[in-house]
Amino acid sequence: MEQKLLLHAEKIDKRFGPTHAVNEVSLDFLEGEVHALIGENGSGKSTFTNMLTGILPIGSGTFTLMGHDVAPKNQVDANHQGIAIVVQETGTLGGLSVADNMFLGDEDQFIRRGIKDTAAMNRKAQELLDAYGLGYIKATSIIDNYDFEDRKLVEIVKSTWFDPAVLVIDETTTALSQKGRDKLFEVMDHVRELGHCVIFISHDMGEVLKMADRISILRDGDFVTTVNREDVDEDQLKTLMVGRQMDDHYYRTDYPDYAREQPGETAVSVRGVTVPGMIDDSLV
Amino acid sequence: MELIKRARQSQWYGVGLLLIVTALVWLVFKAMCPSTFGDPDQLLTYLQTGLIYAVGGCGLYFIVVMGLWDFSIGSVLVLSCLMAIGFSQSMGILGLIVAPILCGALLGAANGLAYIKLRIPSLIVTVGLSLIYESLSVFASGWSGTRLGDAYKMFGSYPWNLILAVLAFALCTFILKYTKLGTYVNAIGANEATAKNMGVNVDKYKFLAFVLCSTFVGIMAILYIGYGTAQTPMTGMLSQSLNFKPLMGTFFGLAFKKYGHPVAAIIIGEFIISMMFAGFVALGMPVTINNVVTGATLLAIICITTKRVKGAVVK
Repeated sequence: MEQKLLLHAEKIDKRFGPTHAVNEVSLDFLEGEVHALIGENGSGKSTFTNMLTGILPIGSGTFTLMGHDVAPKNQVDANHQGIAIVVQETGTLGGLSVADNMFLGDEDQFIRRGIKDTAAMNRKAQELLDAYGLGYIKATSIIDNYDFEDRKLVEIVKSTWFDPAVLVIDETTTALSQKGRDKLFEVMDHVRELGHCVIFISHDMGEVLKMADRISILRDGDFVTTVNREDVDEDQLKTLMVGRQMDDHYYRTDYPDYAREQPGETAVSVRGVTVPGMIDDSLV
Repeated sequence: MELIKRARQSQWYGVGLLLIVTALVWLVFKAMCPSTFGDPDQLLTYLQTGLIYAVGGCGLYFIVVMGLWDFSIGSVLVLSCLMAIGFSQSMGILGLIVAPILCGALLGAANGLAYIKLRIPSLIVTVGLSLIYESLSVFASGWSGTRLGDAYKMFGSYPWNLILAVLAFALCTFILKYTKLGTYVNAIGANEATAKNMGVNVDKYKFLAFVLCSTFVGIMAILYIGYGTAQTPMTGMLSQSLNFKPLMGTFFGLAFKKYGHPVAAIIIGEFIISMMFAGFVALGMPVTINNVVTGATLLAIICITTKRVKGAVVK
């Protein structure tokens, strides 16, 4: 069955001073697909999706979602237009309750005569958390009581409970353990099954090939090509990303000789490094 | 361990912790001077003093939680007190209540507008404006006099001071919990860029926070002038000394906001500080020890409430 066009990006362009971050990129996103957007750091992936989701103003060009031009002013405006994003960094705000975070900027649905119906908001937030299998997270708790991963899961619920037509996952998996990744992939599958689209940004090629239906490559702000998952392997994707033939070593090939000649010797040792709420010393 | 973890996640954990600190402070001073400190009547007096500053602390919370400062509250307090004195003479009880609140709200609006339009740090804006407000207080005292009429001292003692303070605390709690403003000041403080991305009109809510802050200082003025019964104008930055007691309560609120009850923390915090002052006086130390206690407590609270990262650049 042929998939219909859901979102069209027409000559999307963005400059930051002398840097041409996104150079007239045109792309199609279809209904019921996970569409990966890959490229090296600085290739323009996040800038592209940040314009789509209202985090950055569009330089020039047009996004057309289901036949209507969209230019969100901010993330909540994007949500109202059917577009959501889960960002790489922490997107929840300390000092607020879980429920407050989930409905931040969108509280009007709970406002009656200028007063926020906090009980109704908490109730709805808890229902959503329960529905996602995250009942152990309490809607009324201050979000600071939860670790980085749980906060990320709250963000995923916040960005997807209203079934957005387009869901952007911007390098979110980097911050998640396997449990969190499984939950995220579950949500992505659900969005695809609904006939909506996931724009999936990741540096993990294995993950991209596992989850994506089609893959678009950006390089230095330019669109390179779009390929079907079945037509490429990991090495071909890396080659498309960097613009030259790659061998087995994607990241570095210029290690000192002694490092290659004496495999097994410790190069870097890490002991008891912790980042409160992010890295537990028991994991290191 | 699980029990402790669950207790720490309870919304009442912070309040419980503060009540334990309160009891410890009381015990320490009571043990050192059993006859001159900490009887029920005296505790009520400490509470009475603490309530006044807690009302100001509630107002200041709206500003400090956003990462801003308002160093004009001392001068706003002085001017509001003088307005209360002046308007109580011409309008009676209505003037005593409405004039300082209105004065506070207007000065807060001036602070907010100046901060948003000038785009310079809130600390500099409010210190600069406080010099102007101090000068205005000289003119105001010429018109109003400096003593509150005997008929209008009811807010200096029970039960009226308690009633007014409780109303102010209820208002603060209500705003923080049941209005968008309450949510947004916290959101702006946590991450202004993210809050903006979520559609929060940051300038609007910063302006409203300044108005609210000084409005609460206006309410504080009613209690303050009722308790002190006289207010002389202050110039040459003297009013800055009035900033710190409310600020300490605010820092208690900030330190304990993660447990969900900042207003309760402000009230208990001010009570603890008030009790400590009285404790040192009971020990026979000079009244100037208050300044030492104020300074040391302020630094201690900031150290506890601020996330100090090793190696970070501190300006």
